Amino acid sequence: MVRPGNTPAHEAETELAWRSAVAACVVTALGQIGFGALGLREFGITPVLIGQVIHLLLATIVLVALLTTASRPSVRRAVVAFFVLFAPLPVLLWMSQSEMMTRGLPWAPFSGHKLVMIALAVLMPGPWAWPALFILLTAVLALLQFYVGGLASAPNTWTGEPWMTVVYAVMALLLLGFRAHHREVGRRYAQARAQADALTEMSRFFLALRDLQNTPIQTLEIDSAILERRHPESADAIKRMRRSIGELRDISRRLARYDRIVQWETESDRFDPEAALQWLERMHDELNEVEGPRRRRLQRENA
Amino acid sequence: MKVYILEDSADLGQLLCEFLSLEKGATCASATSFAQLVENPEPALSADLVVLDVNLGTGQPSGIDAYEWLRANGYRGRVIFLTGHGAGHPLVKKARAMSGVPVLEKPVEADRLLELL
Repeated sequence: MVRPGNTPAHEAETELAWRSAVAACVVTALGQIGFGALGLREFGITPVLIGQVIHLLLATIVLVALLTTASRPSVRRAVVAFFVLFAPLPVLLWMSQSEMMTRGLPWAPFSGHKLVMIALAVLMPGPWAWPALFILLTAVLALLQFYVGGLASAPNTWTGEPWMTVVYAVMALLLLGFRAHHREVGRRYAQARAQADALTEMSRFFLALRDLQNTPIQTLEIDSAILERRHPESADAIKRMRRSIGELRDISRRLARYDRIVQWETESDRFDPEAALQWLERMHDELNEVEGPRRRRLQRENA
Repeated sequence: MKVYILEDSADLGQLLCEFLSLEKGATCASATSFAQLVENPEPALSADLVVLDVNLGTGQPSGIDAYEWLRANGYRGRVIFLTGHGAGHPLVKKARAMSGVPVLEKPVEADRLLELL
């Protein structure tokens, strides 16, 4: 159900952000369990393993927090979850690369960096600037470790680095750009759709008003015509009355243009203008109930 | 000339009758629902012209139902539909699809109404 004040598009975006944050927690937890298990088997308990366990616990805590607030998801909370998950990564990635370098075993460096960059591009919600910043930070971290941290002179690394990681960073940024563009197009479409829906609803109410007033105007029209014939001595007054009726008739004709916008569902669709207006009044009351206290508070503040 | 008017607004039905009597010297009867028409069909079946409001109220049989009932019961005179709805409404479309039956959209000017009648 759409909460008062939220559009369906906003609701969908919030839900997607929440799901992305949950997915990021699960991916982080599974990744750390997998890499941790491999590390434990090969090297035993190391500082990197301890860091991975801490990161796993952090991901679990964030996941529990997200699940307990599932009924009231928010984009901001989802973005904060990504911040918390990302925070220990620079240290952890640096430590793991340093450890592999000192062990002297052949390995492909920066695989964690690449995974993190792609995951950020695909999953992180909120403004695109944050994932872009994190991706750049991860790439810079890899470059720093390569040129300053001594990885460039390590004999046990693949020679394609650090440029392969830079290529991944560029790909991640392109992916992020595409995602941001896609989201913007979706947002514009949702906005256009909402406007079209609002126009259709508005047209329904204009038609409801027109349908409700047509019979009374017709009654006045015939009544004034009878009076005109029966009371020629009141011609001036009746003429004025008929002019006013003519104006009402013009309004009715102008409202008729909205008839083209409304699509009737079925042949047996009996449009009840009275029910339509009652529905509008109910909606107004409900909105007033939600918005009223906020509006009154603003009025007090302004006063 | 005998005229029968089926219009859910009692005021408008009576006024139309009064107007037609005044202008055309017509003998006129009116009803506000399909049930009233069925209960007392004689004034409608013997009329030269029947004016039917398309919408006779939410959940009520429509003017089209009344038209079909009249034809099924042997009425062969002229019929005119009167409607407060727009041309896009399915009931109005259905009324317009009936050949030889004019559909007038309310509010119709009194003089134009006389011309058409």
